[in-house]
Amino acid sequence: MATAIQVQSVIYHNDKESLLRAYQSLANAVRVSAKRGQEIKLVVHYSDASKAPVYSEDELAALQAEFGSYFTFRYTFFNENTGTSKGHNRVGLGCDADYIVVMNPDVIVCPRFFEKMMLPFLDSDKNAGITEARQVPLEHPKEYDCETLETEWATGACFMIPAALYQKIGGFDEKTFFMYCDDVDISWRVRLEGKKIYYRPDCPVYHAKRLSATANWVPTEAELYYSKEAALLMTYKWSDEKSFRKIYKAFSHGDKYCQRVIARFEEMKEKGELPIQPDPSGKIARFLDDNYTEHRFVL
Amino acid sequence: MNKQIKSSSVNEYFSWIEQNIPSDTPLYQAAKTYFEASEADDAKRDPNAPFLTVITRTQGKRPDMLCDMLLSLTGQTNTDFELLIMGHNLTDEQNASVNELISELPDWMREKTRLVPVIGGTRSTPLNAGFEEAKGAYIAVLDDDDLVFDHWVETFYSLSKEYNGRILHSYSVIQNWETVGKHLPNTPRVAGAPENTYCCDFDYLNQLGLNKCPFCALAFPASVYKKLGLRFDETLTTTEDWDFLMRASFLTGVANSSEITFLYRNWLNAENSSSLHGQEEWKKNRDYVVKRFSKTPFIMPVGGLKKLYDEILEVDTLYNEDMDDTEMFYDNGEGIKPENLLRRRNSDDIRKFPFVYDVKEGDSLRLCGVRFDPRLKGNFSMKNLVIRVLDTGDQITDFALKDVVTNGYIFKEKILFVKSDPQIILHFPGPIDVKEVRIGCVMKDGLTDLELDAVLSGKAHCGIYGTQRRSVAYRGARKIYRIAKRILPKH
Repeated sequence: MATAIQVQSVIYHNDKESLLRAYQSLANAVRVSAKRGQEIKLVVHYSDASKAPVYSEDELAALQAEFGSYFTFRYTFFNENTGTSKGHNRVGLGCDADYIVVMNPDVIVCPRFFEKMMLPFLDSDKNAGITEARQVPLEHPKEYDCETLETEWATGACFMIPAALYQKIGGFDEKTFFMYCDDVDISWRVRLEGKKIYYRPDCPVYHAKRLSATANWVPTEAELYYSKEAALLMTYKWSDEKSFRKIYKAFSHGDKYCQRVIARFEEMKEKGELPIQPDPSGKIARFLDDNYTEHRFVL
Repeated sequence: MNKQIKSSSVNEYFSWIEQNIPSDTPLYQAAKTYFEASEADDAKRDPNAPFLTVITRTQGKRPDMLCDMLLSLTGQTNTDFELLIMGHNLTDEQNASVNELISELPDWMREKTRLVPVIGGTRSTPLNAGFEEAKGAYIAVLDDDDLVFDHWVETFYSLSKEYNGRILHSYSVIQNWETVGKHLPNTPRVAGAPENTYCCDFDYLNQLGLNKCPFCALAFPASVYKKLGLRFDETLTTTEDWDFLMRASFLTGVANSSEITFLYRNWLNAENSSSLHGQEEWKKNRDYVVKRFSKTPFIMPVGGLKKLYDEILEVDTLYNEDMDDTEMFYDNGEGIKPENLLRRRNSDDIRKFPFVYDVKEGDSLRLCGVRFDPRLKGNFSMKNLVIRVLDTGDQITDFALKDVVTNGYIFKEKILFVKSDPQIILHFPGPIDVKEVRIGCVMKDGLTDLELDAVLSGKAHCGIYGTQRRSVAYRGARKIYRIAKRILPKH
């Protein structure tokens, strides 16, 4: 019987060439799965949070014609910058697939992507809640157990989750997280459900990133702000009071991004919009300096 | 003038001839012919050929790594390339495994990819076969465990627009990797942050000494193989890349981009070329290549002579009049005395050991240590210090900076002498029947601003207590001893 999978992504002014390569890789993964005896019924749902639609009607028709034999292509223009959390929820909470793959729009999957990602779900002893692909060329530095392949959270660059579980926990926390740390938060809520996160080192996906001349990763302006906002809200939501106070104090004397974060937090507090704290005893959450689990190195 | 060969040593030389030699000489005519031929050659490029041919050598032993490499090529922003996978000595099973990987590539990538079997030879053999098969205007080599960033081809392409005909060079980073372990023995896992310590702009003279450009961060104009007739040396089991690069760059020049486009995976617990070939083999191949370089006529690149001269000058500071002021005192158990001087004699190896001292012929001295006074005055630096002691049984013992005490300042493996009467004292670990003492070092007149700052700010530590760091307990005990000595009555 075919496994129904929805691959979903939120576009924000992406380059169409890079999106095309992502679709080509997904089509190829469906082809390879079929060749290896695994039938995949795939829906690729790309939603668009850009200011103007990335695709014209003609371009959409061409895409559907090109990939129709491999997957159903859906495209939703939000006419609103939803951020990733809200964008994913809009297409994920109502979907009728068996599994959802959350990924960045330009991620290129390996040929045996579906087979590798689904493997832990097929073994009930593993109690899998999420599986996460390995990013190439820059692998994420967070640690995982080399024996069990368990990890504490999965990056939103590319992970798979049973649709029923995604819907049960209400998807991403779109009210709290616009685009950053939403993946850590959903991972921890999956673990609160008693499920495990599995890293798939044998399932590489190409996620284009570049290094500066000093071999450092260069964050964008948005990443600088939203990473700070998420850092503060994560410590609050996941009840790490000590880390919360430390960050709050540091941000109070920080740069323009920090000042904006403090203002936003105070506004949420005043309006009663701060998130519910799901793990007051702190059995799941881990705050290690700037990270949410141990890292093997600093990128 | 054609940009193609500009900046290679050959081009620079012909340009110089064109500008400085009378036009009615055969030499001028040769230069003119060279430039005309280069221009005509450039105009002949096949517009239907791909921009780049990527050659990948594989022995079929690491399909997981090859899968990563293929994925990183699938992610290229510029797809104007073909891929030749050179299957070197593959078994039927390995051949099937590589073919299966190719069959699983996306259609567009599969159409660009060919598996070319190569039997026999060395690491160079599949490279020559690949260069022979290549259709691209440029050719680059990726090993089956390499990873590239998405603008690897794009960067080469952009460089070629401006510097067509030169070797194209972008930067790379090195990163430690390992395999996951017994659960997934062939699956890669990152073990450290990427570091950019590996790359710098190509410099012909520097490259002659040490290869600093990973091969996979280079793209060669196909003409170096197809028209100029350069081949990889199949007798080499290592360093074939360095050898080829040096011969090719001499003719074409190199254009650099500081974009980091290539990630070199340094395997901590898996096979790589360093682990596969022993140090002896690397040295043997290197010596062979150097020997061959030195048999080839060589045109110095513009600026090269000055650079070489500066480096020679650094060594030549040894041969100034200050050499006459050096002295070597000995300690025969009674301490250093002015009359206890070793005899200076001419060195038979002046570059390595410019200062040689011995005891009178037929004599031997049982010594506890020596003091070397390199000059009368200060304001110079000394590096690469070696004190070689030869005993009467012809046993050699070498001592280095870490073994001596000095009244200079230690900074970055150098001794900085600021004041007059510079001294270096070596206490032997036990008495030695000394026959001869040799000193190897490089001295440079004057101190740089950085060195002076280091002395003044205390970053350079005084070497009078030795260059070895003493423990806190030792320093504490020494301090107490000194205080006690000062305050306690003498009798």
